[in-house]
Amino acid sequence: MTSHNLQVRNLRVYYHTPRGAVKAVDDVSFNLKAGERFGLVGESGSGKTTLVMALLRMIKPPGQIESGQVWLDGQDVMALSEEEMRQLRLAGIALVAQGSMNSLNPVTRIKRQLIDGMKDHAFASTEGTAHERHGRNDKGGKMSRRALDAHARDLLTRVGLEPQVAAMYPHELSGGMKQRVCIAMAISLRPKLIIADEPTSALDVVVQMQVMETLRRVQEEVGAAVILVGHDMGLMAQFVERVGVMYAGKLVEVSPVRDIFRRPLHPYAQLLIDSVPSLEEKDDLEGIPGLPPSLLERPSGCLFHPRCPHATAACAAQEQALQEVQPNRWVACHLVESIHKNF
Amino acid sequence: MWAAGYLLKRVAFFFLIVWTAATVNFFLPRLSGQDPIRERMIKQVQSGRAWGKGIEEMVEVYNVKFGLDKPLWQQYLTYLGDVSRFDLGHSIAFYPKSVKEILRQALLWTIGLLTTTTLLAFVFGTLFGSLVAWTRAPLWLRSLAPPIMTLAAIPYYLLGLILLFVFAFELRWFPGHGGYRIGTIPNLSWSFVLEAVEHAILPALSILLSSLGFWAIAMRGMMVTVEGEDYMTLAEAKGIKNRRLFFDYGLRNAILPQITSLALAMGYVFSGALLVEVVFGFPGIGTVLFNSIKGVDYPVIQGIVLTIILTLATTTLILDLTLPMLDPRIRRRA
Repeated sequence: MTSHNLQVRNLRVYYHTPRGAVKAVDDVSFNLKAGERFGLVGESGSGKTTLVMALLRMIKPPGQIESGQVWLDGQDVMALSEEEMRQLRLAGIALVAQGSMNSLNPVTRIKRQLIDGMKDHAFASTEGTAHERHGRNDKGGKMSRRALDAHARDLLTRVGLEPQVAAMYPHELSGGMKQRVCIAMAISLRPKLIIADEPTSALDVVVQMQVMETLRRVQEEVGAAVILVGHDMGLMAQFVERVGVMYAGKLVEVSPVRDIFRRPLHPYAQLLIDSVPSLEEKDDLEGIPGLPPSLLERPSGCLFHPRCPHATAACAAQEQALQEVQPNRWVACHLVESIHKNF
Repeated sequence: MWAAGYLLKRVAFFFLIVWTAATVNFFLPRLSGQDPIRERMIKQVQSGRAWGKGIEEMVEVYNVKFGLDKPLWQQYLTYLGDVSRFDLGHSIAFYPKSVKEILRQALLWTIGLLTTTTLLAFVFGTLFGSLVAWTRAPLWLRSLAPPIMTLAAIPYYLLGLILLFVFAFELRWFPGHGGYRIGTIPNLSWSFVLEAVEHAILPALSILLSSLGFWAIAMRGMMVTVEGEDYMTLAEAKGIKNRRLFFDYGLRNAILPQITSLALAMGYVFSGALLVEVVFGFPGIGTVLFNSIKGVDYPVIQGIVLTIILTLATTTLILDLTLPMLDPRIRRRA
């Protein structure tokens, strides 16, 4: 149980609308090892962002975490008080947000934004919270102003920025620089988990690679696990070790990234990977037929069966839970064995 | 670097505004094609206060006295010279009192009443509006929103009448008229200040209550917008304290348009809260404007208009100089 850094068990997040509950995250379970890079892919609206925001317990009404457990290094995240949860953010779980263009406060200098998060974690309000063992410098207690300044400059250098950036305002930085600043913030207290929610969606491919390289480097230095959310399969292939495929609020496959590219087991994962354009083969680009289901009126049985090329009567009748069909490969599909004959 | 050029540009702009406004102020009455002195003389004859004989001669004498016989461009230059010395001429209704003297007396009352109420309404309205929009604010505070918003919908003079009726006539807690007791001579003693404050409470309250809601509504809208920004999400994910989230991230960004509104509101302080002053018989500039319009006292009207323009231009200048400090993004464009 303790070999895993993050454990998510049966997590459910619903949005309560006048027309009924939207099951944005439905019964999701997965584990992360310390320092592991995990990718979360799926179409828009499949619940990726909701899932990671639930890990930070930042779901806003009408959304609500219905049930489930999240353990970070043996600490029950769902059982924490609001104040303890606040302390856990950044110190235990840090976010590199989507849309880097607007993630920084436009009216204050970078230094101040780098420091304020650390300042508000400087006092240990409760004993034994995760940040106590990490974070801060070795002396413990409150960091002096000078130490904070030095730390801010050090952080900027570590993400490949000039220390002078500290004195600048966000509008004076390029998109890539802003995202580096966000990465610097994320590692400021040496968290155990970094959530990167489409961190490069607003950047061009060259800058994208540089930013991802930076993220990988500092993540390894800090020893944090990473959840990378996105739909860029190419980026996933280069960055993560394992991939979780989400469909309509459920994880349908969790596999090592090499395996899933070589032979995806779930039909949806198969179609997703087939839709990635290839440099070698000149083919018509293939999409996935149909549209993702409305999360209000969900199909019976397996949620993917109306779009699935292999669907049988059993698929429409009953849902298959995520199960380990091969070592380290988890799939939620009735037909794994019949589709993949040479199992 | 940016500062010197920017400063120069703004100050030049200030003088341009004042000059344009003063020019319009000069030509607009003259466009009406009326002959003020002849018309006044004729009026006097009609009311039997002067003889019909020799009117033409008198008109000529007065025209020379007021410089109206000179060509327009010469009149204009004289006028500009007078304006730059803030010499606004004499009141017709209270001749030979100078317009400057009348304005000085009235402005003191108006500034005292309106600066205080505008600033108080701004501070509390802004704070209140941002708290109403703040989802983490206590429920009792957020439930205060409807009544204050309703107050904003009531015109302040109507609110003034209600306050006047309840607190001055029915309960007799506060005096209902004037800026001080009849018979008191304005001076700088404590007892007079207390007396003035006592008289100012009801007019101040009516302005305060109605403008509080105005500031609150505007601020609430801005705060709701800011709360949806990406930097708010990231700030929360950084685990910073609620207080810092509210002030450094929320309020600090949402307040920027409010500062602009404040500068404009401060500019209008000098125009007086006309209706409230009339309702309460307050000796401020609103009452003076009201009376001079009734009495066709052109010099006074022009003087007041010029003062309003001057203060608006001044507050705009101050705004232009302070806003870049509050919002670094403006510096780049400037």
